[in-house]
Amino acid sequence: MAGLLYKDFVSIRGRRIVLIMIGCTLAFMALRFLFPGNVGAVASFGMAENEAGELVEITVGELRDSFLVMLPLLFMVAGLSLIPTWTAAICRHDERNRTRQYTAALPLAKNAYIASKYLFIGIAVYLLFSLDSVWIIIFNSVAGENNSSECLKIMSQFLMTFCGMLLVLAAIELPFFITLGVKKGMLVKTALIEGFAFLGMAYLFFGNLMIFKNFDIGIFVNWCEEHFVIAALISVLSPIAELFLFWLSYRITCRINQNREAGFAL
Amino acid sequence: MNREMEIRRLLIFLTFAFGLTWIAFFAYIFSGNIWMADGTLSGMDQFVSLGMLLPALAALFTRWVTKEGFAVAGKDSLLLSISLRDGKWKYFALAILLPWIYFELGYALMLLLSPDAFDPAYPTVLEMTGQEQTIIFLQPLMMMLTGVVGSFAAFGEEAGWRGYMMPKMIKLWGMKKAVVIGGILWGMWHWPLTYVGHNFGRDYFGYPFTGFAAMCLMCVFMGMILTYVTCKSQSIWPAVFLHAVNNASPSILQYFVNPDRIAGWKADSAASFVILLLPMMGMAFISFIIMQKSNDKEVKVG
Repeated sequence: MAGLLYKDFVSIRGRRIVLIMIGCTLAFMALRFLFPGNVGAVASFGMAENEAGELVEITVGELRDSFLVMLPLLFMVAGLSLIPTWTAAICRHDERNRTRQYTAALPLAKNAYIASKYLFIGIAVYLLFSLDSVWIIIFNSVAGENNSSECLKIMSQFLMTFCGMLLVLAAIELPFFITLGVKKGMLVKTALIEGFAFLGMAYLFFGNLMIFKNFDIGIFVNWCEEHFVIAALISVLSPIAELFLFWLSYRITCRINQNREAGFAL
Repeated sequence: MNREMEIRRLLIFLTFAFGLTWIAFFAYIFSGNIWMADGTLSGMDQFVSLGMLLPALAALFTRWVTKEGFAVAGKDSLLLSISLRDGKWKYFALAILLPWIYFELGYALMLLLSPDAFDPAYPTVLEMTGQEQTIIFLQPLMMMLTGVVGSFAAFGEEAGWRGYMMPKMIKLWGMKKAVVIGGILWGMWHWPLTYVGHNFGRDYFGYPFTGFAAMCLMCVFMGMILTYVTCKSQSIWPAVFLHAVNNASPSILQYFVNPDRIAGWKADSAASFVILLLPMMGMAFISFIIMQKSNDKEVKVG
């Protein structure tokens, strides 16, 4: 199993990714300690709201603070968006090298190959979750009490839920990639994404667009503080549900592939 | 086994582990930080908690320097494998549930020694809102989940202490001595933070030396349980989960024990800490006896 996981690590050029992530984290830590302090405003196209609610040009200091607020959020989004690309990459690499046929001839447990794929994605999500938590801790270490660090604290409360969503996404993708192959799997994935894109476009044409106009992360933060119990329940129960779905997907994939011949062609 | 080489490797690891972490801890102390007595964590407190990752880094450095390799599983490995077969799943379940059990028993013991401390209105004293009070009964579940998913900091410590140090010590000196020496060293590693009020605050009898002693005592016993689950599962992961859930302190009863109503020596923070962890110590002792009995037959690390 360890060998299969290492193979997947090599196939996504893991060593390079690890070095880049460690480098980014150290660079962010250096930046944060060079520019500590209270983050007053988050920039929006060079403008920010003052206390009276008027738009004013922001200062260089505020721009720097905004940049430091955005960095952990960007890193969070960028880091987590890597997972879907890895799901396809590890399966594509195996297809190219006919690894699955090769492992079928090795003295491995029947479901070892499928388990390795799920385990690899699970470990990747765990590591990225950990790294995101480290970034939030670094940001908050010298931030003091302010809206941005409050916002990040709320975000971190839901980080498990967000990361769990990636597991759900992988739980949908992996059965297709493993059973049908990457090419057909990607077709299904594209069809699903396009379906959602069409739904989104339909909403843009016929839906209520005021939602976007009134969108404010502060409303979400306030909601979480007001509905503490519901927010806590979501943050606790959703990862459990997501992990269950991930496990269920693994069992289904094993079931579908249980009678597959070693020399099958995708 | 080359004894001299193993001792040298151990010393290299300890130099890295103590050196790296104490630099971070002393930087925290000399920049004027102290641990809050009310248990709230400032941003800097959380940042210095990342020092928990440094024993893992020390283990990796040591393996690199001593050319021991980075095998994931098997003999002299990083003990990172996860196997739930042959009943090993029990140790994972035990690791997640045990802290909840011994914390509830610990608070029950505190109430037994100081019945007046029971205060159903204590959540209000803690300024918990009505909504927060309803979540009290979900707290253990939340802490267990948060502990397991957010266990990277505990992983940092366990990869060093249980993943590298303990297997070497067990090989060199046997289980009994290894658990005691390993526990004391692990406790000493915490001393700079104990000095600034971590765990016990700074307002206790014999500060800071009783705090240092209590920390070592706690680490010896905690180390017994952590070594036990590591040996039995041949993996550091149950120890990681147990450590992480332990640090999250899952307990419902803690919200009904008012420390202001505890009088005499039991009110001392170091003493109440030891009382709270007495059930854990009892469980640790039982696990140690089991390990001792099966030492030559089945318990092997690395």
